[in-house]
Amino acid sequence: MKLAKLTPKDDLVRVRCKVNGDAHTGTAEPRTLLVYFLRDVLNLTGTHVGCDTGHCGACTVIMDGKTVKSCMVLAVQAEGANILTVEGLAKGENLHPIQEAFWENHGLQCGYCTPGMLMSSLFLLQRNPNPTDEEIRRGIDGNLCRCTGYVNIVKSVKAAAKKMRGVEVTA
Amino acid sequence: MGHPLKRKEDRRLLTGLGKFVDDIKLPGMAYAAILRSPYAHARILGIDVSKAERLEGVVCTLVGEEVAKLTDPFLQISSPPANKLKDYCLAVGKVHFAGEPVAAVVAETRSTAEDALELIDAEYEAVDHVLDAKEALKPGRSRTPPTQATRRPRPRALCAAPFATSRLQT
Repeated sequence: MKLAKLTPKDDLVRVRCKVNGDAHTGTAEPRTLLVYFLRDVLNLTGTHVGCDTGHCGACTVIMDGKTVKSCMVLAVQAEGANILTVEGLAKGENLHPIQEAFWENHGLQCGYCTPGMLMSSLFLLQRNPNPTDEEIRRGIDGNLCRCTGYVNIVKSVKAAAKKMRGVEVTA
Repeated sequence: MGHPLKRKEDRRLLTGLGKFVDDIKLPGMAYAAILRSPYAHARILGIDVSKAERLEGVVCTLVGEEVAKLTDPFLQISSPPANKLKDYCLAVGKVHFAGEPVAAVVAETRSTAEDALELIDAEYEAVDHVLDAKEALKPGRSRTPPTQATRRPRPRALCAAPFATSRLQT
């Protein structure tokens, strides 16, 4: 005899939220994490799962104006929330200044941690438009990168800060 | 020449359009979850997967004994005596470190596969373990490979060869 699933179909929950400006409705198990809701239900695979335990920051998104590690948030907690993911940074063909800065300063190699880095950098620069190196390092200390050694990431965030303040950046 | 070049792959990586393995979804794709040993060193007395197999959405299960029948042991590249180690992708008979895979479940979804792990009844008998490298070198401590690979017969071509180097034998 078959054993019934732990979460029968009737237990699925409807989640409505705004992601990158668009209204979305999806169903998920009550235990589904926000990151899997974004990736598997809404097919926004730009947000990555690195560790599934809240350590690496690859899944960082901005929810109602604050960064969250989306593997540490249940999808049902995002009911009614306004979420920004990496897919929402660029405006059409025009990259966000942070994206440009990472590209120009070699702030990424494999690109796996990059979406989380970009979201944490955006949150930092929104609150602190002119951060010191130390403040940048503190701002991204919840995000791990195994390729770059962080030096070029700090450089990228610094360049992004200048771009966003409207300062001319050379090279 | 003389100009810094921007990497051409960065646009997709920066906009969330990269394709990593976890981003790929294929029709009919199934998910595997792995049950791991809570013991550093233990004999496996039995692994009962019957309940897990019956969970709705489970495709199949796999345990070490089946792996040993279906596959050859991993190739060992260490120098002796470590090259005599005989191990497989799932523990056979004994576990040799905490976290060693002992059983696998394939299911229609990742959560069902993980639920099924909790239905597996694995019974162990813990045996002496060594946590210290110096301790491991003392005589009598459990540093001998638990299972020794049996020497395979020399292939006929090797017997007939006028010259053979031992480095080619495994």
